[in-house]
Amino acid sequence: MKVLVVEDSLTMCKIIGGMIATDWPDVGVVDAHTVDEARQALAADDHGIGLILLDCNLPGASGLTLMDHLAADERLKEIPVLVISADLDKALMIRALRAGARGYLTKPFEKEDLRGELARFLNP
Amino acid sequence: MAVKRLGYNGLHSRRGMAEHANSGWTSALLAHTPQVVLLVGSDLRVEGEHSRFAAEVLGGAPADGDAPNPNAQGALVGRDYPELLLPGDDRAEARQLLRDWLELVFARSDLEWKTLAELNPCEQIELSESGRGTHLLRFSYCPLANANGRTIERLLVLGSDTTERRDLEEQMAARERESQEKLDIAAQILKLDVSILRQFLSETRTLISEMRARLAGLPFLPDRADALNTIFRKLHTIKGNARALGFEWLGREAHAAEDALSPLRARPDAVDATAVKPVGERVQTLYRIIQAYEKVADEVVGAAPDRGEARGRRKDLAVPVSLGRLEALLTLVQGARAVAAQRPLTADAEENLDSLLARTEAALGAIRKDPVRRLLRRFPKMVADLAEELGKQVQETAILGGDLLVDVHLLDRLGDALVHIVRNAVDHGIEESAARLARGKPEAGRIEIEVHEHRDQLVVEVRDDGRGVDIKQVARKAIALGLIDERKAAVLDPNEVLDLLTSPGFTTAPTTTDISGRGVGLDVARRAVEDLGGRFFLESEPGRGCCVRLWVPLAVGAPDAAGAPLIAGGGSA
Repeated sequence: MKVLVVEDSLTMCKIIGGMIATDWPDVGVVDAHTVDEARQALAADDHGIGLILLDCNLPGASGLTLMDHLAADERLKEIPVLVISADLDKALMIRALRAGARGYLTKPFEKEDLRGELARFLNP
Repeated sequence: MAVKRLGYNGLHSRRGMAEHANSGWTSALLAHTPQVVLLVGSDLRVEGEHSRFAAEVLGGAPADGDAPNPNAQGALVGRDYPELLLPGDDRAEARQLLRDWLELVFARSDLEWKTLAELNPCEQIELSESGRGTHLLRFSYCPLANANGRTIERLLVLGSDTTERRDLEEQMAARERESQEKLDIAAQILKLDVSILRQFLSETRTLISEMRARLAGLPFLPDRADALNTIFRKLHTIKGNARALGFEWLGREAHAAEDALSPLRARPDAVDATAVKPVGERVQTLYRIIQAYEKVADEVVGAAPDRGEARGRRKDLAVPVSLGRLEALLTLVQGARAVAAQRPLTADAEENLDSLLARTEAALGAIRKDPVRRLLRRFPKMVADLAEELGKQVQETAILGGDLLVDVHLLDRLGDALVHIVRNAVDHGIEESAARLARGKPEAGRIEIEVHEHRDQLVVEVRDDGRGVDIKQVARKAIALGLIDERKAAVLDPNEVLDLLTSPGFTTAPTTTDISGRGVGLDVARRAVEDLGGRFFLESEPGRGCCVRLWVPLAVGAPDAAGAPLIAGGGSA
């Protein structure tokens, strides 16, 4: 089981990767720094990715365009998406939820917040 | 009876407000409570009973006399809730957002209430009522679920007047911010994993450099909207990382920078050097904050990342401190401990403690300063040695005004810049004796270094009576290097000449006797000065001499030289 982390800040990737490795050592983490990289990672993946953490603040195409891409693909639309944002931008979060996101996290998030959200989708 | 009116037949109400009360009690409550109390159904319309206050405040129903008026209390039933709360064309967007949120609330049983509640887009509204002034109403929502407990059937809306509370909260927040800033640096740094800290410092520094570069170029770009978005994203990243790592101060300043950027993003066509300034200042603040973090990290963890040749190695400088001074400091600290040991602290004791610590701080700060003379002492010999090496004659270098006390780090960095400037003056400025005599000048050249203070700035001038800058030669060299074309060469202004002289391409070019001009090392000097937040100027009288003038802010961490341009440029002070 793998988690795809779509996030352009290396610092944040390290933080999230660390949190996942601590509590779910068997879960792999794939990093993507742009929407394009995410698309490639998903195309190359063979049903290993079971959860996507998506940062809305990305260079180039916004994170939400990835959600449209997922919704349009039969194979990908079942993968749950958790959206991450540095602000509690309510309008953005409401849009993301309406686009099909299953939850959101705002930075700074505590380990407990991430754990709580991940536990909904990863096997304990 | 109340149960029937509200349509609660057999339903499970979490708040239970109407479940057990008899109708008389409920009506009395709703008639007199100074709160908005109402119910919203899944069709987003008001249902059932609501408080009279709600009708008065939202529905525009006139305040009734003493007798509870059942009509007034029913006035809102059937009305569309978003319309009620946010009427008018100017609030259409907010109204739609509220509607979107309410739809999520009623439709998404897979989401926890906590998750949804956080996204409430309309937590408060301001109401002006004639005779009652402006009031802040804060809204909270309680979900009332159906029998299986999963689907939300209606929302209980509660609105309270929180005007006073808001003012109090703002005061407390301001006070907390002040103390937080001082505490969080060391504490947060200690808590962090070193590799993450290193990554964070390095990444943030890079982002700041990139932003500064873009801001400098912004007024000249055709597509500003794109550049502005890029700048915004970088600020946003810094803010997110800072908050994730507990660096509140940096997070807050990054947020303030985002706010400063908003007006520019709204009107990209209006962006010019003036409009960019406030954002530049905010970014400069971020730069200073990250420097502060790096300083502490250096000492605490040894985690300062490599920052490249341009900045040079970070040296650990030493300052001489007399034993007497150290003992005086020790006494101050011991005094502070003695006062702090009294428990509980009286108001007097607190004041004394604060004063003792302040004095200790000031005394320690003063140790970090040295008279400028220490920096300038080396130059006469340096000039003499260089002159001899080059076969030129130079009088004893005059040093003017060395008493000023300046932060030791500043002196160190300034020293590097000055070495380049002074060498340049001797090497390229001062002519050989024969040439000087032919011009009617004294055989030996003269170099003067003068330092003085102007308000909060340190002003350093390096003057020579050499050949000055030959603009034609500069232009020729620039053409030869492909930096400008012939047309441009004919109309160069002094600022542009300075820019050429101090551009890296210029100074690394090999020099020949014909086209040797000033410039070796000047680009390094200029960058060093500008990195300190200062300004670099060059004035020349061809044939008569040259003056390089530096303005540098004195206080480390103080605001930049007033109007220090982000876009590098010269000019006289």
